[in-house]
Amino acid sequence: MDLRHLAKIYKKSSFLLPLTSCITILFVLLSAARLAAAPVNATVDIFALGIAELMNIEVTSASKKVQRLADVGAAVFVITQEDIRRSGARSIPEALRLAPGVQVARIDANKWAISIRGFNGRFADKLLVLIDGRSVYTPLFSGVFWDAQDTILTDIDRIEVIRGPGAALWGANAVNGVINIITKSAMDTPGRLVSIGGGTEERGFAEARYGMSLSEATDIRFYAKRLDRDSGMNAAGNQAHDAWHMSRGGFRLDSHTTERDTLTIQGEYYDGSVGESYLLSKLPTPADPAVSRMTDADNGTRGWHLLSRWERTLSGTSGIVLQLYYDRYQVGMVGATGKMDVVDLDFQHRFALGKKQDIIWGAGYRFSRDDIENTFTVSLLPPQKDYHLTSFFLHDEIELLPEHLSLILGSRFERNNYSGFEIQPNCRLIWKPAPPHTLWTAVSRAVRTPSRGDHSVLYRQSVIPPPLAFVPFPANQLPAVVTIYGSEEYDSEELLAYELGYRTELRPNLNLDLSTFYNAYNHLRTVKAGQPGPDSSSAPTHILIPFITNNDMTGHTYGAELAVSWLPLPWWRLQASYSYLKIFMDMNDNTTDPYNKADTEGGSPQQQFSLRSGFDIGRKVSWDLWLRGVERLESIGDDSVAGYVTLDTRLAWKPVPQLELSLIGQNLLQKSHAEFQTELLFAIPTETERSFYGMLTWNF
Amino acid sequence: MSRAKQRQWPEKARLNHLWAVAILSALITAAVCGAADAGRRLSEYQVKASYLYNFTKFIEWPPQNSDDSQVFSIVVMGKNPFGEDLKPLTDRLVYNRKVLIRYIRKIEALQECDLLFISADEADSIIDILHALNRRQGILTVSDARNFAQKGGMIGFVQKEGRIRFQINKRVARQANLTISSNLLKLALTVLE
Repeated sequence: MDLRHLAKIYKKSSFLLPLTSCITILFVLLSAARLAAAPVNATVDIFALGIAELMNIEVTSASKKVQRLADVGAAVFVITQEDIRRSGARSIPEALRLAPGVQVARIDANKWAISIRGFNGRFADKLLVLIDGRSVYTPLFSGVFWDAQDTILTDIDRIEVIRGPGAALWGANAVNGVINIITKSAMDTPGRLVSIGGGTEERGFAEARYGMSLSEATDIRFYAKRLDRDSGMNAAGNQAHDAWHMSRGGFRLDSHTTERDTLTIQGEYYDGSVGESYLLSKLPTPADPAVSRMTDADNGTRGWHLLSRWERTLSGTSGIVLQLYYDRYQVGMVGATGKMDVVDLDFQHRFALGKKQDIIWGAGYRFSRDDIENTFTVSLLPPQKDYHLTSFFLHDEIELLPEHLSLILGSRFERNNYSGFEIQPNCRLIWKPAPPHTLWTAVSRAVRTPSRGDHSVLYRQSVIPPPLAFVPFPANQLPAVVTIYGSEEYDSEELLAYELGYRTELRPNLNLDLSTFYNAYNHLRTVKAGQPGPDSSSAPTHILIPFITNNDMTGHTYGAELAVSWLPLPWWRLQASYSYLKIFMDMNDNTTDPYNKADTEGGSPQQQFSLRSGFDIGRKVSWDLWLRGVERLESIGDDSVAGYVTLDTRLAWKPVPQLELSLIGQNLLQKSHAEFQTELLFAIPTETERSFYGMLTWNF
Repeated sequence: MSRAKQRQWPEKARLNHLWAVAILSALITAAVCGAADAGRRLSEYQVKASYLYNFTKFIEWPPQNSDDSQVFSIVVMGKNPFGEDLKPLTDRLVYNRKVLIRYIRKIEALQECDLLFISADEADSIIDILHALNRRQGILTVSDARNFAQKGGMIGFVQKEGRIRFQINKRVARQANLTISSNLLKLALTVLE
């Protein structure tokens, strides 16, 4: 078999290769599964053991991820379903505020800037977000379209927030953190649920879910949701154009096909429109000499996905997971529209090696294809491109001293067609001197691979009307267009992170979690001025002022996050968090980048805090208060944003167990406040207003 | 990465992809077939299943339970974490009664029961579930949900240094007419009065 010959055949169709890979792997697995037909466990009769013996047996649970995370030696925070319900959050970005160290800034009613440990922006690119194992991080600009991600919040089981490089275990581009949104299994959502509500900003929403058992081992739920969110107010006090209308529907099926196998199939379709106000740059014409125009647009956003996951427990200490999904979505912004197709196959195997090691290894392949309809303002050239990502990871947890010292060594190896081969190793040490104290430390390397935008964008950022100041006559009678170009030479951004953390239980029901970090970045994105010159490719002739994407910025950040959780009384829960962040950026010599250093240093708040108090009043009423504050943003998009402290509250009443009525007030301390400015693609931000909404949830 | 290198890419990439697939397939086959059945260690839920059986030896149920039913009824509520681990119990006798195991989702579905195990996935509703059981006597409640004994459950499993231990809420057990032997109380990690 001549591989080179085969390679030539594959060249002809770029779908053939990934398809064959998928089929081969599936075939191998299926045949292997038949071979490895579970041999009956030569069991000890567990019921012959007495209590004294049981008390001394060391167990290894088939590790629920949550348990495992606590021992992984990373800065982890788990947002539970109860946290989400009691916070009054109506969308995933709002729920993310519950975790320490996560910067969530609302740009307008449908746009958010979300990041961890700095580098926040509408197109923040250092945070990997997964929903049930499906990545919602788009390779178009290396970020997340938050307006497209939503689900019935009651059906979210938990959100795992991992701060710090999660690349080794979690995937490509998890540079500053990973957010893992996990929905409940269909078995945990039986029956009918209807939820409706509306309010001053949250004009209206309706959710319905129906869960049922198809058989003793199989459950399925169907759901649908409709959301309408009002336009906000811009800084001038006028009605903005940022409404968010979304409909979505989907299903989830979970089946315990055998005692050791679980199959999950999920699918969803969504269709909505998001309002956008932006400053569109244009060349002046005699009829219309303006160089920019405020434009209001209603962008369609729609997509669907189908995911299947098979998990098999091989023994008490080993298991495999195989996941395949197809995701297709369409977005629009600043006049351009883009379609994306993603196919992803992922495999993981966990097993114990000897008595002291626990190994997880995995391999995956992802194929993405985009199709962009370019406009004068924003273009991706070529308008269609295929993206291949192959990855392999290995994670070894070694018990050096039982119960006291564990060492984790791991690395992720990837190959993508933009930056080639990338290695992301990490090393962690977990020390438990005496229960309940845990100390952990880690050193990791992570990369942010180039996005489609970094490589191939053509963005006409602004137009300068004549007469031009810096150009001699007669050229100064022409307009100038500041244009940003992507570059195929654009390299991956790199992070070397050093972390140290401490977890303890100060008293029963009083838990403390402290994480500190020092991050050294290299090859961060900048733009480099090119040689201006005349350009007659589009009328009228103008002077082109080019800037090309480059990797000329380095820098370091350091900070800490503290989370405390206390149950002073059985009916009163307190949760507090505080985060501190300092950012220092440096440009390489001779740089001509006008804004990246300022935006990066000034675009994230130095401090954030959150204090939540939850009261259970009797058995039917609960009352929650949430005080949170974000320090000012010194400089983002040439502007600063004032810090703010605000208060949310929720009062809920369950007259009967099946019915819950709740009243929520948000952002109560001011009439309105700004949270962000946009740094690119000039979308006009709106202020977050004081608002109220009521909600009725009925389980029947 | 220079332009020259990039032009060589496509074919080399295809070749490397094929190798990747081949190696992947080999590794996966090895993994699935070769995964040694390390059944030497007991799983968490095998230990908890054995505990449930052991608890019955140290606890006295009110006489009505035996009068009302020929069967010792164990009910698992919520997502079943035991898999098939409880099945062997049906071959054994508890208080000279045959063991019957049932799995339910909602507390309203509970009929006759001697031992109720509540899955940790029901953690959010523990208080509601225990409240629904308030009037009923003779049901031993066990769970591995967090702070179960503190919330009013009778026996709560906790993990301590990789081992499964338990906490007992003596007061609640007494209210349900269950007598717990002092030998079991001695072995508990915590006893709440």
